Amino acid sequence: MIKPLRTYHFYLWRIWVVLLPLGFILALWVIPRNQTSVHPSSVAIKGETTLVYHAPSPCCDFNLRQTTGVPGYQLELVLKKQLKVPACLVYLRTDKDQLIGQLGQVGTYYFDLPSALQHFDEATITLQDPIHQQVITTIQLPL
Amino acid sequence: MSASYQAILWNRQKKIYDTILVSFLLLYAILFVSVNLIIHPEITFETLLIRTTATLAFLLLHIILMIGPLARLHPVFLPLLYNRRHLGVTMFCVAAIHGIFSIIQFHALGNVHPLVSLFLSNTHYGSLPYFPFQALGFLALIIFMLMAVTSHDFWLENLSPKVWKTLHMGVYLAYALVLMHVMLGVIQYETSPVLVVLLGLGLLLLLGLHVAASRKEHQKDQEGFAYNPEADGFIRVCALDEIAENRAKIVSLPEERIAIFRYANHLSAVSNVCKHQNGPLGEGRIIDGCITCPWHGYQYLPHNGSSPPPFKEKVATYDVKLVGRTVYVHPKAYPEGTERPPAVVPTNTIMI
Ligand code: HEM
Ligand code: FES
Repeated sequence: MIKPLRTYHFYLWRIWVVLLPLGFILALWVIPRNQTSVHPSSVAIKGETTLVYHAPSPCCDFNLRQTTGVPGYQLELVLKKQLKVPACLVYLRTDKDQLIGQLGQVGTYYFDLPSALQHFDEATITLQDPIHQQVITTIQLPL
Repeated sequence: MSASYQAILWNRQKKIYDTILVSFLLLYAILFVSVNLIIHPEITFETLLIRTTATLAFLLLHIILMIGPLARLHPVFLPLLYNRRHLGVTMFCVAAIHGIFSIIQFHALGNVHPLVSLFLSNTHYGSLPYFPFQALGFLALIIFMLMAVTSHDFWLENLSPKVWKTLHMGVYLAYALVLMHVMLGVIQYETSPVLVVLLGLGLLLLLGLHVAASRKEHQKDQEGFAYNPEADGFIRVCALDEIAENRAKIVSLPEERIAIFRYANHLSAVSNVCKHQNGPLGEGRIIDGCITCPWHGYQYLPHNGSSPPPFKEKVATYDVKLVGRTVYVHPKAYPEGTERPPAVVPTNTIMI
């Protein structure tokens, strides 16, 4: 290797030694706590659950469950048909919008909803296409 | 080393290297698919393909990035470096399967162009947990593609080793992009800690090896500033006995390194930088009367720095002198391929 490239190596790895672990730790730090899994192949529901609410829609079924002894709700979203939009974000809407995950291929998705949900009079789950800025479907949660 | 270009110049070493590589790919794929089918029997074929190729490409990338510093730290790893380009092109092909299938799976079924969808389906560029991580993978794949298509010696020759090497250092940026592709992607929703632990260990290993190797090289470069030329401009290098027969002593000068070879009762000095990919000639040996680069075997005649015909590569030469049992070199470089008379080692000088 020629000297300028050796020097480049020397400084680059000194920068990487700081930046890469920083990025690594930051990424771990920001992992959303209320989202159990958005990958259809993972099974998220554990323990005894009761189905509190079931809402079918043409593209997907919404099942709201409660686990015995655990505060809060778990939303099971069964995507039945491949969506025509390339991206679909899932929002929980109370007094503010909260992004709780995204949908991709057909399958079952699980999201943990915060226990503070009970304090609101109204809450909806909205599936939104971010490219065309349009709502795909909305359901009202029976609180 | 060739006088004309061919797609691949096969030899025994390359065949062994590639056989091991292909066996490793197959073994990994079989193991990964089997373990996943046991743990997630409901997993789809597409997800399995995307995950197998993703993890395999990332593992290969780690191996590729480890070879350089390992070879700098210990010559026992040099054979791994010999055919690293095949490893790189293979890694790109595996990563391309992962990328293309991900685009088909996640972006081809919508009503916008898949590439538009890739960059715009998720516009949370300001959020870390929902960052459009696939865009990072795409950028890394472009870098790997540029490296793979320019990996042939044709491009090395036409772009010049310096430009080529600089371009290929893009791999470090690509590694950072892939790391964040995974950390801001699957790690944000994967519940098992296995992947994150493996990623962390891989990162520590790569950082440790690269910092150790670059520090070692940097220290060697700093030594150059300690040399004081004599009145005639020559620099004292070492005692003759410190150079083994058919081997070299490397001297780091402020500008560049020089390799002083001892062979058949002669001493000759050439630039330490191989014309092929800037390999360290002084870490090579004299084979069949030629300096042989330890990286891919390019050869040069020690007294004139030229490759034996029909090859055309040439490196700079330097004057060497022997005073008693002490070796001296003059730091002035002669134009590449200039013949310089070797210093003669008296036959009664006993080698220890
Ligand atoms: C066009 C470029 C790319 C796209 C669209 C893409 C897309 C994706 C997607 C969608 C996932 C999540 C898969 C899942 O949930 O199972 C993923 C994961 C991953 N990707 Fe990529 N990727 C690209 C390029 C790359 C490259 C170049 C590499 C590395 C060499 C890479 C390495 C990985 C790894 C290691 C994972 C985690 C594997 C796992 O799911 O366990 N990707 N990528
Ligand atoms: S032969 Fe490839 S660097 Fe010397």
